[in-house]
Amino acid sequence: MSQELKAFVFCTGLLISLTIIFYLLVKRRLNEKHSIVWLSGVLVVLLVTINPSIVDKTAKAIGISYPPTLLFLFSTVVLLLIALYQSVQISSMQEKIRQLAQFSALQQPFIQAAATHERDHVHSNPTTADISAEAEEEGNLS
Amino acid sequence: MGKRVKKMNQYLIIIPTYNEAQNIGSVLQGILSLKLPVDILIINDGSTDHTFEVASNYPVVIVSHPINLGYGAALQTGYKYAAQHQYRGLIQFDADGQHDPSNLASILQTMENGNHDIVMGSRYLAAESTISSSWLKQSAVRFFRNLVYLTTRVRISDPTTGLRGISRNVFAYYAERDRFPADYPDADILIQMILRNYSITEVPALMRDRTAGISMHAGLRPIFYMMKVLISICTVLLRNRFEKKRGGVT
Repeated sequence: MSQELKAFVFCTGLLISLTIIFYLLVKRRLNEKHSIVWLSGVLVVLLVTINPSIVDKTAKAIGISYPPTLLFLFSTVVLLLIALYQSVQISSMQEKIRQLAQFSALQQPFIQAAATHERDHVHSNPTTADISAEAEEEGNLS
Repeated sequence: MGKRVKKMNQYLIIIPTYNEAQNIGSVLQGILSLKLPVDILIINDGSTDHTFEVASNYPVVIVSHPINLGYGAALQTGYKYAAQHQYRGLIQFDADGQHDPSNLASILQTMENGNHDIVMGSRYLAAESTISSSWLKQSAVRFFRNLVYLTTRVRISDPTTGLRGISRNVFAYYAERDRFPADYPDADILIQMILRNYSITEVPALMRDRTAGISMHAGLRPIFYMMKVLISICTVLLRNRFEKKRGGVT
């Protein structure tokens, strides 16, 4: 690969990838923390693309006779790790959802008590006796 | 269940708190002893220690997240509360004892007198701060300071301070969804605030040391954090450029 071709491939690849990733970031569809992972991935892929000899040399050093299998192995491992990490995240989120749902559910008795209180006391026009009685009750509650 | 505290003042101090049972008592005592015309709100961000019990002993309002959401999310809850109760302004204060309550009076005064949307307490403007930051933290602050100046031409001496007062304009905007980060609002949010034309001023503030830092010294994490903030700043700048073209305000 000539130097010009390498530069062209690298720049074009970077431009397209950065556009996609930053589009997602600006539209708030992707987290900044996660974008680090994808940006690093882009960088690695592009560097290997313009220096295919890296794969050959590494394969030879490890003892792999057919270098492309190293590429497949590497990408499979990376994808598996990402999937594992996402499983961990999902598990954590499921637990958080449960805590939130239970918290909401436990508010219901308080809301119902307040609604009942409203219904029982805001029925007819209150007399001054009613109002001072309610004020005393409020004072006792706090 | 805790004392019922109603809104009495125009200004609110919000204190995001996560597992600060040891510090929150003295922090609250320090603020209350000044008898400032402010209400105090504790946002208990899913603490697993006795933070809630300790804070309940003081005449403050406490709201508790059922799960831990992060410093930024806790701040946003404070913004939502302040918006709901129509406060004129709020002051962000840390629960770990790093902020000295004596700074509150000057921030409050600057908010009441001036026409500033944001009043930041800068540890670099005060003469006698007892801060002994590591060179790592110092260079990080310097880095963010330069970045803020490069992107906005505004000089902020302490862009990462947690001690700041903001007006209703500002917190009402950031109380809405998708407008505020959940983890830690840093120079990226500051740059966005400047680009939104909020007027910002700094006042000198006394700060004390925190024995356990915010993971600034934890191995590789600072590098990832830096990258994250840089990406965030790029996103803020891009959003500002593209959403201005469409006529909207970011």
